[in-house]
Amino acid sequence: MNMQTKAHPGGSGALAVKRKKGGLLDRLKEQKLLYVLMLPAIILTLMFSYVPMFGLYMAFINYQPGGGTFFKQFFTTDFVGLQWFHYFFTNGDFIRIMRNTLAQSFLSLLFGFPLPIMLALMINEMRNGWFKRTFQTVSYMPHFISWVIAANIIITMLSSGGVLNNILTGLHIVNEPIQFMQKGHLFWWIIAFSNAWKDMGFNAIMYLAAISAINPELYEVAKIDGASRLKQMLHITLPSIRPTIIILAILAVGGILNAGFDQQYLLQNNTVLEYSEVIDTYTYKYGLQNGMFSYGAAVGLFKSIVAFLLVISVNQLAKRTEEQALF
Amino acid sequence: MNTKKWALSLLTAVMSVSLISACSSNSSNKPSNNTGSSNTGTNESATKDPGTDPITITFFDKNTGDKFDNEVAKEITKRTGVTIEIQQPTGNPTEKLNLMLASDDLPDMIMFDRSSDLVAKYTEAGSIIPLNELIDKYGPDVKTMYGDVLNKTRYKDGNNYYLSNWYGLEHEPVFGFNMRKDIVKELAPDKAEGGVPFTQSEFKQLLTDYKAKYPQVDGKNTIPLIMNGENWGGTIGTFKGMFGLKPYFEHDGQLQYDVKDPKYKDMILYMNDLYRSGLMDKEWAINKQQVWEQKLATGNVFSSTGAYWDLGGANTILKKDKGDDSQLFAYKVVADGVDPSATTYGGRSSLGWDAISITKKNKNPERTMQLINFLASEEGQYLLMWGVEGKDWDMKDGKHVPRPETLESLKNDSTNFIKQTGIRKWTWFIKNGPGQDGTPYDLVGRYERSPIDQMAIKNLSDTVFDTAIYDGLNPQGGTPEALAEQKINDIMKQAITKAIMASSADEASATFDKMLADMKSAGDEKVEAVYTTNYAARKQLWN
Repeated sequence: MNMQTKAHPGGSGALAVKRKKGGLLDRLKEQKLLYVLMLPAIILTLMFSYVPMFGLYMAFINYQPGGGTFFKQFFTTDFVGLQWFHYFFTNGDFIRIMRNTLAQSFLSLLFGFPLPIMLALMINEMRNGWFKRTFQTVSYMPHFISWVIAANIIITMLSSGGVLNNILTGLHIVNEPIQFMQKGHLFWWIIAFSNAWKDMGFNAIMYLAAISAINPELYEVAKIDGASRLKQMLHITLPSIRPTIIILAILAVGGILNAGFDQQYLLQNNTVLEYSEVIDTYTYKYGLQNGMFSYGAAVGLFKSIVAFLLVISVNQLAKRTEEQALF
Repeated sequence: MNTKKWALSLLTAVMSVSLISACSSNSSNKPSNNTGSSNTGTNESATKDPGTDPITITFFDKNTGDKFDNEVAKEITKRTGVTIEIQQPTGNPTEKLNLMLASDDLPDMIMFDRSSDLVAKYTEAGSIIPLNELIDKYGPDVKTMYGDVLNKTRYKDGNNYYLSNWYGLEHEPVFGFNMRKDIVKELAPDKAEGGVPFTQSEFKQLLTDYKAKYPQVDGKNTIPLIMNGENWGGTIGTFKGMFGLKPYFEHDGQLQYDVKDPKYKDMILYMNDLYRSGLMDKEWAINKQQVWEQKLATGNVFSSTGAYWDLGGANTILKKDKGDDSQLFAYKVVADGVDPSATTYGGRSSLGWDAISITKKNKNPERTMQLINFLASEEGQYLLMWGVEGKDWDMKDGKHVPRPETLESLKNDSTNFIKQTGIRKWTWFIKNGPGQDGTPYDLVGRYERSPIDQMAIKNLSDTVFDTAIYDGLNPQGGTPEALAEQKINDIMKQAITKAIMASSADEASATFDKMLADMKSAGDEKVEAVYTTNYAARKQLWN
């Protein structure tokens, strides 16, 4: 909502007009109808986003399930303070897992962020309506393929008898098939490429929507001034979708610790575990598979805190430099 | 333009969405609530007077999510008045069991893996009830059938919290080196019919000969030895069997990780040698179950590790495509310096695979025990495993005799037949071995043995050993030792995989040594101390 009002600073809506001087209470009273309408949303958010945060307490106790009800357990188990965090930071896993998470996220961003923008620009330049629509549909199709299937496709393609190795050996670029899935240092790249392939088309939709909102008069004026299509793209389209790009960049940086779960979980094997384990697969392994709920919760909480700080700081940065921010 | 209108419509949208979602969540909750209340309703009347009034018991069986509605199921309901409602175990039962314990949302009965630490967790939490009194009152047949097993499956407080299935030690093989018999006939004819084990070097020679003679089949490169990367236990277990390694390295009354056995390193170096000689599938570590099976079935693989029954799917296809002898049969390979009879291919627990418990949520423990008593009795065993008398089998001269059409259907279309009749569908409280008349309880698996089974029995029966004393010695969940154990397991899996696929023997050896050092810094001694303590306690309990 903020975004909207900021994007239309001249909006003379009733809300803006009524914002006279006066105490917070006066304003609340004045807008009470709106608050009543908002109530369900507030309750929902509280119920599903804030109340469950109570469970974070689990990270500070040695939670052993069973006995009584879930909440009763919270008070009967031992309080261990920061023991789980301490264990996470000192047992040597922390550095490896952070390295993998950041590296995979960074590489995924490197490919996954600019590619949709380029794709959107290219689709936008297409003339033929039928071809354009088909191309767009095909490009976001991979997004709807489940990772289970996608992972099997990727593993098959990269196996020693797979397409890629057949091409490489057929062209005599290599003599022996390369074991792509068993080379730890390649795992990050495989994740980055498969992420980019899978989400490129879908992410382009957002940019395409932004592009379609650009006032066509701008292009007409530019044409009269003699701007080529490339120039139009660089000087009209790109600057016009800049707010969208920035918002999405903020969101992407906030999610940098969300390197993913499905893809790593499905593509990894024992030979590359050193490079494939990210925070989410690690939390899952300890928390759910081995039932160490407290340890899993502690690692998850650590991740949330870092993600929170990242979003805040990037948002501040964007505010300062661009006057364009998420909140 | 009109912000107010816009805001209002947005809010209405949010409201309607929230209403819809609230409604849908209500409706999804309803069925479970209803069954819950109807349960308790019937239950109350039943507790007063155990009998055969119809009651419903919810059951989480980690092995099946099928409906309780086949012929055997109907017969069980008819005899005991109990209808069982099977709960969906989902993809990862362990995960669901952990969650059920945490949320205290328990069914009436649970079946878990006996050797997992879940049994201990549930016991510690008081979520499953001790069965001793119930067995004394309502379980005479349980007592006679289980015998000493009851004594050995006690928890450390001396109570029985579960009853196992597939209990009683059977001299049935497990792992082995499964090889194409037609190829063995060709390359090592004197050993094709089994009975004589291969030595370490003979096996390598055999793989090499195969590779030399058949570099390609149907234009595809052949694989002398394949392994299932997803089935770590089966893959490493086979090689461990060859070197006579046990679940733990035991010396001076101490239990240590198996990798500390000097023979374990020899094993890794041997595996590395096979890998470097190009005899092992280069992609074994990423082979998933289906890929492994598919590669086997195409006919360009000579041998595989694992249990002979795991290859059933591939063998069916090979038999159809190429003939009986092209199936993979289980053979024994013996490492240098190991006595052939001291190989450990067949780790089996005499105390059973799974553990079945009654939870504290069960409103009818007496009735449940009556049901258990019926199922565990000889009569119940033949019902569960052979089907309904007069339909699937008959009693002739005091002996159980299966009807020919039953055997025929089991052979031709076992999956559907089992689903429809319920024979061997519910593997609860199953005892190994023969009944009083000498016929085996397990009609499907033990009555008529296929040539593959017979070969495995011939070659590997003497490799069976009882793992019961080693099962579930792990540290309790949530302790620092449990965390360390998990980390050490990760270290071992990675390092062993790496060492097997090292590019030189020196590298393999160095990787292995580094693993031992890493394990040490991860605190392996503390974990081993827990193993040793639990082991000693177990021994004391059993004596």
